[in-house]
Amino acid sequence: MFNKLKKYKGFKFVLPSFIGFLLLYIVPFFGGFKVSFSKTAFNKGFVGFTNYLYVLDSSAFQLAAKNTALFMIIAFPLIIVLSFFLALCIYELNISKVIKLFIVIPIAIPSAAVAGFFKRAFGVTGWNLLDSEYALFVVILIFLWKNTGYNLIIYLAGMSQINKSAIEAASIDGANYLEKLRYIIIPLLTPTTVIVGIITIINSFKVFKDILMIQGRYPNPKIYMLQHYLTNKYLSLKYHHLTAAAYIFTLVILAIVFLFLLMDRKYAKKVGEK
Amino acid sequence: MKRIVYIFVVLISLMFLFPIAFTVANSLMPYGQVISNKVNFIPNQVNLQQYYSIVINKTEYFKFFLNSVKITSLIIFGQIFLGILAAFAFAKMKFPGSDILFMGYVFLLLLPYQVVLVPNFLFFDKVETLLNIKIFDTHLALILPGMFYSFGVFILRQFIRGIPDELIEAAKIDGAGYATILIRIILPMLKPAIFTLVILTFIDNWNLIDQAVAFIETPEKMPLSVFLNDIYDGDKGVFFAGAVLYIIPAILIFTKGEKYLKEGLILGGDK
Amino acid sequence: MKKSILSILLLILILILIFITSCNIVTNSKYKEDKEEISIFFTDTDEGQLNTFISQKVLFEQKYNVKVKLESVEVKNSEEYNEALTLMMNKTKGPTLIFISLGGNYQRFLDTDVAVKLTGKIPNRKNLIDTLKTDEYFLPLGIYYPALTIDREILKKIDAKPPTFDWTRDDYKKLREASLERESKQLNIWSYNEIYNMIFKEIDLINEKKKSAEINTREVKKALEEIKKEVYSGRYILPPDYGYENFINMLLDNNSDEYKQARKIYLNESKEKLINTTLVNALKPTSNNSIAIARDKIILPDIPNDNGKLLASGFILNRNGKNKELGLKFLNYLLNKESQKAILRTQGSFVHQRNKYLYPSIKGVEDEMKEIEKANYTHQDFIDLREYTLSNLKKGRYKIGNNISKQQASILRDLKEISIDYVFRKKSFTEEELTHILKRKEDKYNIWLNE
Repeated sequence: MFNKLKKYKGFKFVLPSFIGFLLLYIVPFFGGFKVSFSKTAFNKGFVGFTNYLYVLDSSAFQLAAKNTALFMIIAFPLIIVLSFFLALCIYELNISKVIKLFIVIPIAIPSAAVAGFFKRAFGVTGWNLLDSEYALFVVILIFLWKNTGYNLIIYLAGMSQINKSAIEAASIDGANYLEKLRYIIIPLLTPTTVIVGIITIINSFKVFKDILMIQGRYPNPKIYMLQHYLTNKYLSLKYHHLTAAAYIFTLVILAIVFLFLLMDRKYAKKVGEK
Repeated sequence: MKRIVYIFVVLISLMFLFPIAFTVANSLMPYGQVISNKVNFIPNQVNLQQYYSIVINKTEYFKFFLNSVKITSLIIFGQIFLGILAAFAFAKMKFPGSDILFMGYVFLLLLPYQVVLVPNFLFFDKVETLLNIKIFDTHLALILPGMFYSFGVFILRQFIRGIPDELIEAAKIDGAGYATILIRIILPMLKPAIFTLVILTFIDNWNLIDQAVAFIETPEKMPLSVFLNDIYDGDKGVFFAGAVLYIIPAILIFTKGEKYLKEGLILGGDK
Repeated sequence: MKKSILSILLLILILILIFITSCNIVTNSKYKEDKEEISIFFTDTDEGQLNTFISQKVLFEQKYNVKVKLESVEVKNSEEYNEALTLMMNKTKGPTLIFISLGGNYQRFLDTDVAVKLTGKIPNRKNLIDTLKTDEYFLPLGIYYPALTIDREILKKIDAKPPTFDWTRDDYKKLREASLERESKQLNIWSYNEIYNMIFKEIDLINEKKKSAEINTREVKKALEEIKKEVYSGRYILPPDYGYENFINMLLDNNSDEYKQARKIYLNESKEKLINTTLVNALKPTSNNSIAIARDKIILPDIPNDNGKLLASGFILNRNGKNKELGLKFLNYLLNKESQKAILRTQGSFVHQRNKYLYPSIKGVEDEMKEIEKANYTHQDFIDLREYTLSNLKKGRYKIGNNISKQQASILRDLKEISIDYVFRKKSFTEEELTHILKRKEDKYNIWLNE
């Protein structure tokens, strides 16, 4: 009995944060299920999956899901390649700290402060990308601008941990730089890339703040994201739809993360075999 | 080849700097030039007219500034305190189920705020009705979710994992309890991680928008970000100066602690 | 060791201190009474109107030992009202009743199921005027039907036949044309709205079936051009020294000098116009100078249209409200003859306080009304107007006009702003620019309609 309790000693330390986590997020998260199956948040009549079907069927939700997915599919590889490339350049060429700081500093700039710039740079008559079909590219640009630095730091940290002797050994074997990159540097950085990937997902949802600041709650349909849908549902009191949409969203993210981890595990295994 | 790459990187870095430079340049323009429909990059004449009119005519700006300071600093405080305790346990005092719990913490990070909007709402509502503490439309509605957001736990746990177990074992042999180990051994080593946490949490909450839009109703209680956006629509002439003043604390804190970011974000293999 | 423990303790202490100072603990204990409580949610600008209804509140409180609390919010625009509402509505013990001010839109409460069905729960509902009973969720307590006046002298000058109570939109248009031909009118918010409403009334902006907005269409563009033509037709007097900015201020900003100036002129001008909107309630045209008015002017009820011109003010019962049963009792109480007669008796100055001119929503107060008319020496024309309007209302010819959809109202607001920009800007929009602007709005409402 005593031993059993001892095992849970660590829990004491987790407790303060756990209480808040439980009360603020976990319990009400499941509490929200009831709402998603109710007629409305105010009328607790059970309606089964009606709300889920309604959400899935609504063209606004479909549009939002499409835009969010499109954004992720384009932005995700783009930022990882860009930040990896920049990190590699800075690492290999020993580029000055000031240059690095320039790339990193946009992390610190609040959305509201640069919204003015983006409105003026992409939203003036004659050159109005924000209202055109290419608005998503502006959003991707903003995303890259803001978050490349974040990933850059992580990659640089990862690179500084690489064991130089492995690379040197490869050089002696006569490998050229691309080969070294392909067979040594990238595999060694896989754990770092996983972290970068997670951070990128987290940050990719924050680009909503910028869109909200620039175009308000009903932006150009090309950049209408899931968060717009959710926020608008919240403000129009339609909680039953909001919760249903939120659970669908969560499920999708869960699936993606699962896939991501699976791929990572497979890749790590492959490298291990080699 | 190397030179070309070098120049290329420099060019990219200048592009990254451009939006900030533009904002600063616009903040130094005279009023008339800013509100004109033409987009200008270089001030006709450099003056501090905009800053002057914020200080003189828009004193409420500083009230909102203080709102943001209050919200952000309290959240950082909570993040550090709660984060260190939990992260230590997750990294070095494994208990049954700790890994699964930690996965839950990480998963929360992956969700956009809007998904937890309703959970937060339901909780606040319960507290209000049961305990009679006013939460809606107070800064508490912003501070509580911020404090208990699992970001701090995540960052610190990854860092603490990198600290060799031998140090702890040695201390244990000397008869130290876990609390002592945490305070005497772990805490002094955490400096880069804590700096990292402070910077990232500061940036995130200095830029707090979504929560405020949902839970704050009284205009006076809004954080600066929301207020600034109103200025752009209402009084564009002073927007850029307001923006620069808003950026300054963020840049100061960032450049002060930037050197720790690299160390703080060495997140150790996740396996 | 001791030092670090001390510092941690200090940390916790500071944390607790900050925690306490940053939340306002509502200390109920001091004021705690045994009384049950119901509360009413309203915006602070509606307070005057609300008071006409609940003037008898104290009696109710005494009778049932209940406290009726007023929870007002201060809002600047509809967006803020929305946010405030969102917060209030979703608490498990939210406000019991939501006050809908005259003409206020309550459709949203039906859409979200906030409103509780009232049929069968309020005994006094049987007293309601039959045509008002159709709405099962909203309880109207005071109603208002607009009246217009026509200047007899000017009418004689343009040699037109005096219209009767059952005049039509065509009659109105003809008279308006004739008066504008004779004498131009000052351009201001009111005349601009008149032009705008007249032209946009005939355009369908929302396709209900397809759930789509139809804004970027030839019709809308034509309408914008028509408005511009009308404004510059010479029938309207534009302040000669005004630029684009001035016009924008005059028409969109109620705090601007331009607006105040225009308002001053408007109030003077209305004395010499052929057709005038009055603030007289056609259902309760009691005015102490009705004799003077009737000498110079013909008073008529406004012409009914599809959207309904009848305005109502009343309550919605919140499904999540506290003490709903008591809320129902309170509503029942407000519907009894005594409370309703109190509404009838409330009268005030002529121009500003429209709320003082509300007519009760129940049947059987005509005798009381007649007495008031007698006491005020009301002119026979006014009495006829009331009787005509009331009988029409009882026949069901008027619809409550509170409920054009949220989207429709918002589109009309947006388009009005665009039209003002369109009319007054120095360099007129190119076809491309205009398409772009309208497309942007259309996109917005297409999303909104399909959310």
